[in-house]
Amino acid sequence: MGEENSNSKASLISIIILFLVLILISIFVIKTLNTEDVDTKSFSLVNTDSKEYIASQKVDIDLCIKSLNKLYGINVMYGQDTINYANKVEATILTDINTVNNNLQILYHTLEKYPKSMFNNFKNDNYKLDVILLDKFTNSNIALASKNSLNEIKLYVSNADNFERAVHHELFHIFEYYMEDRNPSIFKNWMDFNPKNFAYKLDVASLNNDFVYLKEDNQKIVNKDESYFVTKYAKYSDKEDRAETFAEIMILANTPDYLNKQSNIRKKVDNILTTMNEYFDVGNLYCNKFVK
Amino acid sequence: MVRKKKKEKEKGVFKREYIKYIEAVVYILAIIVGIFACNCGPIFIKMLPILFILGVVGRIIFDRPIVTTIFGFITATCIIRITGNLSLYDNLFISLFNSLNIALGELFGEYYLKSLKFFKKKLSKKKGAILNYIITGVILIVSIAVHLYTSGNYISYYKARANLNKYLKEVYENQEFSIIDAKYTFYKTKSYTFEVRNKTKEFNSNFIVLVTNDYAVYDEYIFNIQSQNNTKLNNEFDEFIKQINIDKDIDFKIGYLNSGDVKLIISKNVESVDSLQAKSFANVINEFINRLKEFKYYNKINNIEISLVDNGNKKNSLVSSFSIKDVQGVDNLYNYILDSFDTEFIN
Repeated sequence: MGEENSNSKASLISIIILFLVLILISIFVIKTLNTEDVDTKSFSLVNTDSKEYIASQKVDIDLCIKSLNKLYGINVMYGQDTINYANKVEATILTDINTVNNNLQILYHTLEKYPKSMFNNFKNDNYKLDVILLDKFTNSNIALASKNSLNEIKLYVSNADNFERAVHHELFHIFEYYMEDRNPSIFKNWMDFNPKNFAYKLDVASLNNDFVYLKEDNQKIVNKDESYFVTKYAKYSDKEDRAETFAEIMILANTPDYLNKQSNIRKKVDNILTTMNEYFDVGNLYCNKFVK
Repeated sequence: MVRKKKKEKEKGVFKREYIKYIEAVVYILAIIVGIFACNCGPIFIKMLPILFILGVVGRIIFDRPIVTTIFGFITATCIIRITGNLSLYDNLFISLFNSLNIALGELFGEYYLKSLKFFKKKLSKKKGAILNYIITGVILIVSIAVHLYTSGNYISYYKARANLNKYLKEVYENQEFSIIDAKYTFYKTKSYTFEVRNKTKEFNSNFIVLVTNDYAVYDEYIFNIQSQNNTKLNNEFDEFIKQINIDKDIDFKIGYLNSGDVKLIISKNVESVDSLQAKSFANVINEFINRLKEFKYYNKINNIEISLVDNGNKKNSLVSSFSIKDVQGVDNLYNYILDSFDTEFIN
């Protein structure tokens, strides 16, 4: 009788503990899953704007910016520091420190896919590289790159789901700027890799899925010999074609069939990497493992 | 005789009831004092496993399972509400962790009593007894882990304190500080917030040592100093602008980068930007930067940001920024500014 009583007491206490643990887990889950459609403030169970939390985020941001500057010579800007640049490119500034921190971490891991020596070329040749973190563009852009006559390069990137891909895309433009400064006709044979009589169209709305491997509805082209472009946007211009191809291979997890040795896209990839190899040490570039 | 016996019996019952009430008062006071010490006491007390002990005592000595947890939760909610300025949600969150620590203590107490029974009956080698001992041990380990997570520990506290002292010595060489109190935070970031008294300048300020960020120190005091200095710099700069006769349509102001560096923001709004406007603007900036060396705090300016804003179409605005160091080595500043405006964009 006494044993039974003790067991029931223990199980009751266990239920209470389980209840408390489940409530706490629920709080964390709600906090994690809580998105824009729910009023964050009213749902917030703990003040995420607490001094300690903000301090921690700021220290993280500061450390990450310093590391990026030390490792790659890149200067990262965000918040009010970027207001004039944001106005210029029709974007809004990014002030939320959580998002800034998150994007910085993604940027850091994105840059880890490149050998550091690639960025040393910029430093050694007096190119200045700034990354400007933005909230969003008021037009359809996700990211932009710019270069002025003083070789000051700026990479504007907004807080989008495909942040990493956008950074790879813009970085390729930047690499191309650098290569073009040394040889303006660097990709002169690029059109040879396209279908006969193909012409790029500088009108995004008129671009269709012909010859595109990755269609917008996520359906892949069945016959890989018919694919020449990784995305529809790659048909906009030769520069965008190269940037799209490069960005696509930099975010791969497995080797896709369009990288088979005889495929049209593979020829483009080979051309890009061979050309880059003339100017940069691309030995340890992330995508190399998919194009052996 | 019977009456005497009845009286004695009544007296015994009364005594038992009396003791029961005293015991209940002691029990309730123990909960209130324990919860108060854990939420409002000095950090050295907060780091003691008082709530866990409260749960154990509530079960073993007072034999009131569950009640201690429920009372604890209600008491914590009330004490936090009275003593702190926290939101209802924060209050609930902290109270839940308080009661979790108590409940773990109660559960440990329950299994400890069961283990004791097995031990006394010399049934330790029985399968049920071994399992019971194991469960008791596991509960104790979980309780310690939860306590350390929610209340901090002496090792990390002293490490944080040592890092703070080191920081204070490095950054404020000639000033004397003393730590008044500290607070531990575990949600999202583990940190100790130290309330520090600046004995030299006689005021208090907070310093946050972030355990999760390798004990980095976040200094609130330095921001106060910076903002005081910035006000001074702003006033001096306004005076300087008044002294030099420069295009009144151009707006000059001092700004600050996220890094804390001082930047000079020069901007002009025009109806539409054309090459003539750009050249004229570059010319004025060129003259201004040359005269800027006369500014008393010239050495404190790190960056210059210039923008010629097109009111009709912001896209046509010209924006550029450079460090003072970059500018110092330039022979033809006018061309340099124009070159910095000459920008090509690509999607």
